[in-house]
Amino acid sequence: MEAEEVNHTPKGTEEIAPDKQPKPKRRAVKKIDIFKAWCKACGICVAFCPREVLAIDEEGYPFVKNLDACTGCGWCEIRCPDFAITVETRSKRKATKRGDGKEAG
Amino acid sequence: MPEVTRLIYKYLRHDKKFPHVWCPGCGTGIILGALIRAIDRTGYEKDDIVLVSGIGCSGRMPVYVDFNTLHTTHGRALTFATGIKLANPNLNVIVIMGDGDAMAIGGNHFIHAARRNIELTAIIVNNSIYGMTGGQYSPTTPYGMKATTAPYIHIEQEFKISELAVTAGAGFVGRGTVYHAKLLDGLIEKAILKKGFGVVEVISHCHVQYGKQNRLGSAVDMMKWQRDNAVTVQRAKRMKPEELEGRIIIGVLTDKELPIYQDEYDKVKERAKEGLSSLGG
Repeated sequence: MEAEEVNHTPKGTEEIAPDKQPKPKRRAVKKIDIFKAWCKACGICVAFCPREVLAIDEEGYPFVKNLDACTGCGWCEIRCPDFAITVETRSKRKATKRGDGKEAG
Repeated sequence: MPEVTRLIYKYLRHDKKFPHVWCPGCGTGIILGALIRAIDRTGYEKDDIVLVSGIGCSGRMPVYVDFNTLHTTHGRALTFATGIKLANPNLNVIVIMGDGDAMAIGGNHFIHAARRNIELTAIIVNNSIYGMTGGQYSPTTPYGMKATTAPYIHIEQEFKISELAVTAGAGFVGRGTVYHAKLLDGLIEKAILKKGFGVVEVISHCHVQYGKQNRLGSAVDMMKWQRDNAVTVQRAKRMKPEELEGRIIIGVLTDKELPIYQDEYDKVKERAKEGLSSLGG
């Protein structure tokens, strides 16, 4: 009877052939534009982002910290009092589509 | 092109007037955004819309939009709007007022416009204070809060704008907050499409005057307060009165079919013509 071959390589460290490697997850959002000329650094977009995509820099202005985490919900552009932020989503779904009263953030 | 950029190019005077005059974090900018989204959804042409405003921070709103606009005297926005609507009933007249504009100086005009049920849309920005003139208390300043004219607390009870509008006979009354901005889009859209007097009360924040004097924090803190204290109409029905104390009920408060002033006025005109022809033979 032949002994079963035991794999001693710890789990997760096996080498994967380059062609079989999983593709990086596709971002839901193309880009977030912050128009600094209109921005007044009130901090509303940063405070109510449900995924902590945005952060505040030394001068108090928002910047995009983690675009990969963005789901494209569009709450930052809806709540911006100065029309200074736009979210460009990859899909055709519009971020500002009809509200059903359910709120995020 | 992102949705917001499209709306800015279509409806705002983006090449002349921006950045706008309001303080950093002011809710009035969010309400302007909700207004242009709502108008975009109704599908009306820009030339069919008239935006009328009174005096105050909210009175600056017509400056930034590309509709027919009229910036009127303090408290008289509704009277000018009534005149526009009766002179040209095809126009869609939207009135932007602050709490001082609608409740104090123009309080009488407000209840009578609601009673007549004339086809106007009144958006009332309620920030509980006279922000532009230096933080004096307004009729909507709650009991026990401070203002420059009430340094030792305010001793009057506040006006409840939406409840007043319901009682005065408005066809549509809704209340929203600037935090719940998508709900606000829907409320303003419904009020514009409503045949009859449509009122949308928007709970906004003035962190520069009201917030500073009462130590309520920044614009973000005041919006968090709105988030934590707002209750939808549906949820409020299941809650006890003591649980609802100090809460804001948001959503559509009333939506009823009542005789509309313009229709009744047209009937009177017909009747008068008939009477005249019978007299003249």
